[in-house]
Amino acid sequence: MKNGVKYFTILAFSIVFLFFPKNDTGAATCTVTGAKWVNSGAVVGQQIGMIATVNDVQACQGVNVGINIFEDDGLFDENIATLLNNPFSGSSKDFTISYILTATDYIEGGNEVGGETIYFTASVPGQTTPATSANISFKKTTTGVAINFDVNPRVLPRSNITTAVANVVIGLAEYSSYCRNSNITSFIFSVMWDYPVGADLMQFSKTINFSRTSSTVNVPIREDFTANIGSGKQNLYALIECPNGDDVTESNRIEVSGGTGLGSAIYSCVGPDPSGKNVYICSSSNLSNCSDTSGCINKNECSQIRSSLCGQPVSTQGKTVCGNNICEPGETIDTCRSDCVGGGGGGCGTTGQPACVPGTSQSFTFSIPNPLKGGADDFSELVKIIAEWIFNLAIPIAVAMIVYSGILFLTAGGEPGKITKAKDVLKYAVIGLAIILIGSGFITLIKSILELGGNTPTP
Amino acid sequence: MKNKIKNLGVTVALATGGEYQGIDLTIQSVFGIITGLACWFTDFALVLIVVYVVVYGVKFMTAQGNATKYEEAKKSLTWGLLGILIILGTYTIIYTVADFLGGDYTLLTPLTCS
Repeated sequence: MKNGVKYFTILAFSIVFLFFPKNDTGAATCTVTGAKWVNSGAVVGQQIGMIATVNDVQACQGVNVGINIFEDDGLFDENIATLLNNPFSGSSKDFTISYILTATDYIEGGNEVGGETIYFTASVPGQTTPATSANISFKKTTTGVAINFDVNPRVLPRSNITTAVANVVIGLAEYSSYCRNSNITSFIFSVMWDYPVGADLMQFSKTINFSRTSSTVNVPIREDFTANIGSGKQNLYALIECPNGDDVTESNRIEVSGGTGLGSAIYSCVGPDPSGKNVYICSSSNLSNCSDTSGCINKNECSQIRSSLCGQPVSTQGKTVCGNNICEPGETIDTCRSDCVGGGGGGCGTTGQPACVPGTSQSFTFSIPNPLKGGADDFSELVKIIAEWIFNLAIPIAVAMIVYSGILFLTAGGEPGKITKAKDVLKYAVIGLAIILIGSGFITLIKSILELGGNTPTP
Repeated sequence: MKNKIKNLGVTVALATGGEYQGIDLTIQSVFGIITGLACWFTDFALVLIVVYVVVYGVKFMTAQGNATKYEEAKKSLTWGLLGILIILGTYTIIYTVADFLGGDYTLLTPLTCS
């Protein structure tokens, strides 16, 4: 009973202490509760303003507000500037700090061509979670160059020729100072494929000259180039560089559809046959530059056509006609479906065929797309795909078996029977692994045995 | 007996419509499952190494100079060390076999255990 009273007293005191209001509520601690930019965008050399909002003007008097400016990279944000010595003053909760962004800051942030995105954080000493501002853009400088870019056609199967149409407006004063050349008369124009992962791939590049006639020079560009881009929706853009290779500006993105597209297509060039008539000369090994075919030497163009057209006369000169049942160079499934797919060559009523007559027999072509996503066209390819899958499975199993034999050795405790079992497990794991690794090599081995004495088979 | 089982009246908690979300099992995910098992097995082996080294150490201690027991403990530890060598040298064995066969087995990368 005595103890009970003691415990009750302790409990009562604890409760009083727990719920007693703390005596430091009068002096609130200073924290930064908000952060926002004064400017909506920034360029190198510009003075920018950052507003840090605090919770209590009195408590924050003289407290250092630390500012960190970051470049937003999505994953690893780079700290481009740190401003530590900003004692709070004034009677407003909003405290403005000014800073001039330098070229060094821009390089610190990754030196991206298209500009960077920056934000800042503000905090006072002891504040664990700083206030973070919204993102604004941070551009290198005004380069004085503006570009409008387009390509035609926008459907680009592999190695198809397209025309880049661009209009470049150059402010001579800014461009000259940017490229550090007061008498500059040229720039490098490149068409880039905005590769989804990794570095963008250049499709075409050319040095364009202009004359310094007025303070603003307008340079129209019209250049044919061969696009080699991936399938599906892709983006192309133009890149302007100083003659020394410094990036100046990137253009707008143009969405194009790329791909291999032509079905059973073959590379060919156009050249005269023995009688002097222009025909399609097909590359015998289907090379993308037709270099293996004598008729195509010294011919620039080598494009894909439907393989049935090999040796056929070229019907139109330079122009493609959609609906003539000939898949001409430049025509693709996307631009002229009826010519480049078997569809037009089918029954009556389709393009290029007479109208259907009731009562007569009609023929149509159908095609069933291959449901196998692995792209297996015959049985041996299918076997290959399945074998590859089993091979992938076999490696972790081999790891597990070898580890298992190790465990058996470990737990054997010197008993001869168990050690023999462990040795067997290891032996057969290694033998099995060897067989898996040889795999399809067995067929080659048997084949090579059958060819003994003949020519040495290619490995 | 039969009736007894019948009358047990087991109630099964059934997931009601829309609540139950099964895992999409595809043949492509089998590789991941097997890899996960192999990884788990390797981790398990690492734990066993520690346990058994301690066990054999205790064996040595409890031998107390007894010649037979000492020999037995020594033998256990020797084979145990070989087992450790095999567990830790799994990839060495695999690469050695692959290298011996002389192929370019670029597919043989160590399992990525997360």
